[in-house]
This record gives sequence, structure tokens and C-alpha cells, in this order.
Amino acid sequence: MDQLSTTHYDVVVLGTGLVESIAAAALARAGKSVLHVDANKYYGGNWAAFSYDALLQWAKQNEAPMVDGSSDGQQRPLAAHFAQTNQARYTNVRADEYAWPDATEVSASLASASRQYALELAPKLLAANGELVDLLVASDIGKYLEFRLLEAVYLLSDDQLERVPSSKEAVFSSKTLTLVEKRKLMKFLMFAGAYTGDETALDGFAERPYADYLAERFGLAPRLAAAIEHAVTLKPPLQTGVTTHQGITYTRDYLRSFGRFGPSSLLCTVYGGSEIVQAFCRVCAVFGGTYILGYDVVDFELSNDDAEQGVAALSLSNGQRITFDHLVSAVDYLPTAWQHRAIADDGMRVLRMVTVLDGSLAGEEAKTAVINFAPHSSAGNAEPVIALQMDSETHACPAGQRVVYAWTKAGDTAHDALDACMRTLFRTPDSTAAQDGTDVDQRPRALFSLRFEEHIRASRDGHSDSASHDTGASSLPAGVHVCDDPDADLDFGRAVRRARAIFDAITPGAEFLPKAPPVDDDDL
Amino acid sequence: MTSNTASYDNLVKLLLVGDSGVGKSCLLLRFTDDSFTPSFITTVGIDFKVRTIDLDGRRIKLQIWDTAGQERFRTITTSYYRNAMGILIVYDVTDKRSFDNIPTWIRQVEEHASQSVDKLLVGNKCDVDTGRAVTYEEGLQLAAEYSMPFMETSAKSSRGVEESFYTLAKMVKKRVIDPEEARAAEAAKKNGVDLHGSNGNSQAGCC
Repeated sequence: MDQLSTTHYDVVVLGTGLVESIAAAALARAGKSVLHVDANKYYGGNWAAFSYDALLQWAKQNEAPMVDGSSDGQQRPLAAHFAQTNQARYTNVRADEYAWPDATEVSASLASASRQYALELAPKLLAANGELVDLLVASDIGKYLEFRLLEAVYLLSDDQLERVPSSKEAVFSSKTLTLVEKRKLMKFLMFAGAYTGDETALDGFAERPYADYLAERFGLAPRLAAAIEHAVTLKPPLQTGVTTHQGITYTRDYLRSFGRFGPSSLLCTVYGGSEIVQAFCRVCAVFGGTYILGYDVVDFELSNDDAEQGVAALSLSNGQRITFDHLVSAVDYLPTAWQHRAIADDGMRVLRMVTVLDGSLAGEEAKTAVINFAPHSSAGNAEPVIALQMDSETHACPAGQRVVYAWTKAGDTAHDALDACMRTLFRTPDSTAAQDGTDVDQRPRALFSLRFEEHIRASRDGHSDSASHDTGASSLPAGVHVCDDPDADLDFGRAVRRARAIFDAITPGAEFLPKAPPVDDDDL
Repeated sequence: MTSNTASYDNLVKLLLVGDSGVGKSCLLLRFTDDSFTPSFITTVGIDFKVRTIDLDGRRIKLQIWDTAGQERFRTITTSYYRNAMGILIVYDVTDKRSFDNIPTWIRQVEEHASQSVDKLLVGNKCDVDTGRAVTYEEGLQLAAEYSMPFMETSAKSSRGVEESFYTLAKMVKKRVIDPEEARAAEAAKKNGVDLHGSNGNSQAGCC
């Protein structure tokens, strides 16, 4: 293995997830010497996007995490150790290639087009007015990236996918709304768009359910109220029990995002969110950061394992001992002894599924879409289910196909609920059996799916979401900063906030990712 | 330098790849700034550089991206290769290992860049009198195996540097820009109105 010529760094960053990568870029930009390590040979960690073959390989490794000393050299000693505890990130990983009559053909076409897929572990969209977009614009890092506007937002209503109007224009031109409904809806949208956060404007509804407010105060029918609550919103998709104050704030933010870049509140990243990770890593490298992938941490030196002194060195799998002033680490790299001190106890567990389809959703040509299944939708799910559809324009899959990501809270009924929701979108060999031949099934076929449960491990520091991060509340050694896993939200806001808090803790008062000096460009 | 916003006709994205220390940044700085720094410095701070050149009367703006040092441990991001139109694959004629690694770099390019991307093999540091480890013929033969052109350069003496970038730019122009232009010309012909031409089918119009 190659050797590093420098063995002391201001900051060592472990893991190339988004939080780590934003922090690494910001720290290098601010003049810190940064060593950025990932045990995997790819960028992104738990935020990665994979080709088809690479996703299968990932699934295989995570189906049965090996303990130590595996022969293929892929398994990471620390992560394997980690996987044995209840803090493991991934459990119940299952990949299925569906057996259709033309099964060998399907399988061959998936494999031969492997590189045309960018299948994500933690798919997300960007709110057009969100913190990540603001950061990409302010820092100029957006120049490395390509985005597409999200085309459509749907809500499952009475077994039908209903396209939710998200702008005033769309409300006016809607054919499914009556004139009276349009008028009520417009009145509400105007009100929500102007909401200042002053709860007295909510007529005592602030802490009461949002749906009640929409019905009682604006006279919206349950169907419309549900559309507002679940589909005209930047609400974390798995959140339930939304109060009026929360709900109207989420709706307002959604409306305000609309129009910044075009007729949509949400943006899709071409090639997936792992591109965003790589853009920040590039910036870190341009400002002198050193990158090594496929090297693991085999030992931390805990000079004195208390909050006063902590670690100051680690050993890499190439045998080198690296010293540092600060350690920024993804959860997976932490020594087991630190887990409970580092990670909040109430991390959400999520069931995720990614499915490759052989065509567009029945009767719907939208290439990119969000599909909401509100609790107790006609599919029968008790908890919210959210789905995200991508296609070849975002390079998620070859032309003609679609990729659907779906997730919901893990639990006893989660698999059944998820399957029921997905049956409304596409068919599998099992769910096609009911066909009697007279009525042709319009739903696209699922060619492949992967499902897994994940544990969203958030650092204790960042968890309170207060301004006073990294005050030692985590009782980790000083100078150790833990990066959160990707969460179940649609947007990247929390990752940006966490990275920024880590940056502020390490370099108080420094400017967070200012624009780079301009390239000597002859057309500026 | 001109300061109007449309100072070029086409933008072409080029990349440099190859082992650490073969002189990629030196080639880039020689071509864009006509400068050379002899001491070995690893790449810090170079994202990309631009230079606008004239090819057959067209102003082609070359945007040339450097590896930002991420080649040292083979950690170039896959996104680095996106939308690249031409790639200079560079080795050091005094460093046999950098030459032996060229097939690995070509595999990287094939895996992550678009299939049609134009490639040029470059053997740098050809100014050396002693210590040459790879002959011109060996370079030529390897390039032939992968059906790409080959050139030797010296970022230090500037020999071959202009020619390399121009060669690659011409390849991209021929593959990408010329056909586009031909299509545009064809389309313009179809919808164009020639006031002086005699059009046989001139019955259309107002009855």
C-alpha cells in the first residue's frame, strides 16, 4: 500500500458521506490541512450511488456482514465489529431479481447496462430554497453539478395517483377541482405563503392538528386537506401528528421554493446525491486535502479516554500512524466503546426499497416524481410511505426504465404496508397472478428490487439541533466530531447544518465555504 | 484578452489523467500560462484553467481540468470524468512505472468517461538527456494498441505542449463540433429563404 508523506494533519476526516465531505471542503477551504479517508473504494459511504453490479455487491456484503479477516479484503474490521452491535446501520438486506417469463433476458439486460444505473442508498431531493442549494450557490460548488426540476408530485387517493397542483397556475387549470374548491384553496395558499410564524394568526390552532385547521378554518374537504398536508409541503415525509404551526410552515417553505429555478419546489441531482459528495471532496482536494480510499482505520490511540484529552492518533491499514488535532468521523468508524456516548438513543429505523421498473407508471409520463402515501391511504398503510421516481434524465437508469425509491418507518407491518403501496405503482410476478386476461395490467413490471432496514444514527451533539453543538454534551473526547447518517427527510438541510456546526466548532469565526478565487477566465 | 461575454464559439472540456508526478499540472500551466515551475509541487489549488484557441476560424474555449492531486491514491472522483470531451493520458518518459500504469488509466477512462471521448497519449519530460526509461517507440506502440495518437512533450522546454492540446482539440472539434455545425447548416438551408434562387416549387403561397 502506498504511504502518505505527511503524518500530521489539522483534521482527519473518516468517511466520505455528505456531512463529512462538506466539513472537509469547508475546513480545507479555511486553510486547515485535511486527510480524508474512506475504507470503501468508492465515495459516499452511506450516501453512495451504485452501478447495478456494485449495488448487488453491496447487498451481498451487507446481507451477511462478515466479522473479521475475510479473504476478499473488502470487509472493514471496525465496521464488521460495529455490525454485531445493535447500532448496525443496515439489517435485513434482501435483493430480488424478478422471474418474468423472459427472465434471462431481463437479467442479462440489467447486468449489461450495469453502468447506466446510479442507484442510491439514501435518495434525496433539494428544496429549491433549502440550505444545500443556498450553500452550492454561495460557494459556487454548484458549478460541478447538474440538476433537473422535479416534474410531478402525486398523492394516492382512492387507489388513483392524483397529481397535486403545486402552484397557483396549476390550481387554476386543474380539472379535478370545482370552482368553489379552487377558491378555497387559493385563499389558503395565499395565507400560507404569507405566514410569518406568528402563531396568533392561527386562531388558536397552532398546536392542534393541521388537518383540522385546514378543514375548519378554510373549509377544505378531507381529500384536499390531505393533499396539502402530505404533498404541498417540505414536511419530513415520515413525520406524523403535524401541528398547524409546523404544517403551515412546511407548506409556506414549499410554496416559497416554487419558482426559484422554475415551476417546481424540488430539484433532482443528475447521477444522484453521491455527485454532491464528490463535488465537495473535489473542493477539499483543490484546497490541498489529501484523499485515500480503500484504507481502513485499524486502531485509535486513546491516550486518555476522557473528555479532556482523548485521541490524538490513529493507525491506517497501510501501517502508518497519523496524528491530528481534530477528528471528524462518520458513525461507522467510531470505536465500539464510543458508540453509546456518540449516538443518540432514539435513532429512527427505516425500511427502504429501491426498484427498477421496465416503464413509466400507468398513464403517467412524468419522468421524475414524488409519490405520497398518506397514513391510511387506500393502500392500507398505517404510517406514511414516500416514494421517489427517477429516470434516465437524471441518469438513474437506462432510457425507458424508471427507478422507484420508497421508504417508511420500520416496524411489524412495514413490509406489508410498503408492498401494498408499491402494488399501486408496479407489478411483480406475484402480484400479476390475479390477472384474468380480459383486463390488461397497465402497471410497469418490476425487474429488480433491493430492500433493507437502516438505523439512522444521529450524533448526540447534533441531535438537539440547537446552536450550541459540540459543547462536550456527547462526552466524547475533545476534538472528536461525529457526523450523522443520512436521515429520512427528502431534503439535505440537516446534513448541511451538522457540517456547519462541526466547522464552527473547529474553526470558530471562520467563513464557511466562501467562493473560490475566480479562475483566470477570458470571458468573465 | 477580450472582455465581452461571447468571446468564444464553442466550449470544450478536456481532462488530464496519469500518475502523480508525471507533470500534468506543469503541462497545463505551460499551455495556459506559458509558465514552468521546476520544483516538484503536488497539485494544490488548480481546479481548471482555460485558454481560448483558434481552429479553422472558430474560437474554441478549452476548459482543462486537473486532478487536484486526487490521482495520488487513485481517488479521482467519478464525477471528474463527466462531460469530458477529450482526455490527455500522461506518463513520464523517465518513470517506467507511470508508463506501465497507462492501461489502468485507460480502464478508468473507459469506465467513467463517455464512450466516444477522444484520447491522446502523452509522454512528458522528453527534454531529459539521461535517465529516459521509456523510448519513443514504446510510447508509439502502446498508443497504437489503444488506437490513439501519441506525442512526446516537455513542459520544461515547452516542446510538443501546444501541439498536444491542439491535436486533442482538433479531434474533439472534428467529432463533436463539425457535425453539429453541419447539421445546423443543413437545418438553416431547409428553413432558409434564398431571395435570388429560382425555386421550382414556388407555387405555394397566397392563392
